[in-house]
Amino acid sequence: MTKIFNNSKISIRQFQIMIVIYLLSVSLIFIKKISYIDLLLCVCLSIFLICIFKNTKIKSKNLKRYLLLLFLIKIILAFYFQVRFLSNMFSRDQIFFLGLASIYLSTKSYETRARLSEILFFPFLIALLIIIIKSPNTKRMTIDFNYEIFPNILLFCGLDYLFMSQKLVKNFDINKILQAIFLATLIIIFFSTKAVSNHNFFQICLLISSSFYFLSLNFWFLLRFLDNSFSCDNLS
Amino acid sequence: MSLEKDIENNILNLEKKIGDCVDFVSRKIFFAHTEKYFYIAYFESLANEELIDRQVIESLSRSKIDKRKNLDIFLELKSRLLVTSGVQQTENFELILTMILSGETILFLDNCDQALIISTRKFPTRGIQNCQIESGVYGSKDAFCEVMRFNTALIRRRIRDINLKIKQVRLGTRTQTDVAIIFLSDIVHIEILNKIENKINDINLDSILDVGYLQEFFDSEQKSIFPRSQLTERPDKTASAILEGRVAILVDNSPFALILPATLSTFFQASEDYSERFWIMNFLRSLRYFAAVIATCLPGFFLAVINSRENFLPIKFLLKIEQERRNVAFRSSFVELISMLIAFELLSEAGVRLPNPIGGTIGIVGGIIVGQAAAEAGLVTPIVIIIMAITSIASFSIPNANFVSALRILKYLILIPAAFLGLSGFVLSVLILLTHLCSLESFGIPYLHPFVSGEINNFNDFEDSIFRVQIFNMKKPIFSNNFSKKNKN
Repeated sequence: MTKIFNNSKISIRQFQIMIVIYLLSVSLIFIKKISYIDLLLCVCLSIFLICIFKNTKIKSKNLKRYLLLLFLIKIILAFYFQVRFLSNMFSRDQIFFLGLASIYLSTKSYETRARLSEILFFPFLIALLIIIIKSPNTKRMTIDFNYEIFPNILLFCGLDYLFMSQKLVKNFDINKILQAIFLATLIIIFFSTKAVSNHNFFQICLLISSSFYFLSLNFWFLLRFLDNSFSCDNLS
Repeated sequence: MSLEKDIENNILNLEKKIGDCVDFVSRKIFFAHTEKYFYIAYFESLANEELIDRQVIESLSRSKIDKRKNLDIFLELKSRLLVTSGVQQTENFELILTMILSGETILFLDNCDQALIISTRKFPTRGIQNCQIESGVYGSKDAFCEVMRFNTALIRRRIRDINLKIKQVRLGTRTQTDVAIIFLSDIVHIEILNKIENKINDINLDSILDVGYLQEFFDSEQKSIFPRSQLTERPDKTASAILEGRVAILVDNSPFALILPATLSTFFQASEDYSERFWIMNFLRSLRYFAAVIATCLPGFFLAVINSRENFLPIKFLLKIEQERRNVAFRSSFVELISMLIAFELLSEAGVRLPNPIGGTIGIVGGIIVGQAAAEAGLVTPIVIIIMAITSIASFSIPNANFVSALRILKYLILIPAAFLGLSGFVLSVLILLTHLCSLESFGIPYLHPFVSGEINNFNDFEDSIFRVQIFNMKKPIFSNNFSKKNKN
């Protein structure tokens, strides 16, 4: 196909939108299960990781291999926790169809995912806004430490995907990524102050979309591992 | 195979190849006051006999030829004696056969291995008529016809630019159909043009009878029901597309033009959008996008919502639906809806094939039978008839028939998951549709441009998407090769 418009890499703007949609998707799925302290811990851990990896170049090939293996284990674990969590919300047929839809997106290129994120971005925000407006009640702030935080961190700290796919981004700029993360975190914190029921139409649509987006990202990386598209060179 | 110097051999070869054709006409005509003669041949169903009689036979038979060498006679014929506009010489026998089958007249001369091809085409044609499919309130009303030369003339009248180029090729081993590739050489993307030309040259078919044959070749790279090239019967729309930097293809005997490349937003643009003030047109264009969503998603959304365990609709409305459903034979709303949609598809197809005098009557009768009688017989609920009617009317609001055909199939692909899986099925099928659309490209341009990857052209293409700005504020679109420049169109 003619690539005269140089579409092989995604733009930094598209990547920012993907980050925001990804973080919103994760938070929508887990918003009832994690408390504020969990949320803050996850965000701090993510920022800590970014600061560490920002200027780090991994030269040792063995270390790269171990990190890659850890990443693969993380994807499989995350996939397991996701399906287990989703089985509480959807029936078996619905999960099967969700799986098929996610696999379909994961067989497409990274550009397709970036374009889909652009399309979903404003409907996502508008749906969130409608949910927030229609739910005036404010939750009590809880400071209980949740021991189930480990799987949540595994899933919420999806910024490892960020580093694995930076070669697919034109003009990769860590500062712009941080801006996107802060924006998403602000939206999540504001959203989590509202007591939202699961019976709201927009809430259900967002939940389905989030599950689809989240599951397909894991499938995408898994497929790339299987066909050797991801190698040690992806770790800078 | 080349011509020979002996005219009798050339005549024999030609008549042997043509065989028994009742409309094949050939004559030997002598020059005045000499024993020298020339031979002409043509098909009377394709050639302009009046022109041949007047400009060729009468003119040459009265000419006095000096006793000079035949080659001089040939040159004199070509440059002085023949008073027609198009004359070319050739020694290629296959070309002679092709041209005679295209309506040209062939002239052989004795002791000469060259022949003259005289332009005498005249086809039976219905002339320029009004648009049948893409009619509108404002703008020009003329449409393309089956004669390619007339169609190129309609475009040349609108674009009087020296950079407007028309390249012609012949396709189809049996039909030898003329195909014209039209573009503006200073703004077209050379890579896109080369790719189009290469694709056309790779076509190896017996026959090309319509431009739709070519559309399948261009859309074959990615499997999809969505067209990635535009078919139009309007010369003004074609001219507008060429002025944007796109390429138009015309095929002889086809009253449509094929425009490449095409993105989703181009299928929602009508030529009269630029004839009306932009406030009104913005409203109408956004209505078209809304109509596309209704045409695709309304049946599926309706089923998803009424079958859902959660009550999203007002209680009174749900009670009304439940009350009506008690009197209906089918247990499932899915069966009702799909049977009504298929009945309407049958009516649409029948309406296209029927002759004009009875086509309208069948439509009214069919609507009454399908609609009112089915509801009174207890086969369907009135709400289902309303959903079906709104869906169908919405699909006819979109200007491009090719794109509407895709939506006709799409609504079933969204309806089926919604029927079995409820709201999850509906949302996931819409997401799959969006994924598919995001993966499509037309010659490297994302299909959903400018809604995705708008930064390629600094978001200038938003100026003519769902809404359009005033014409004098528009920038160059992405199809133009200097799209990155911020010059006004």
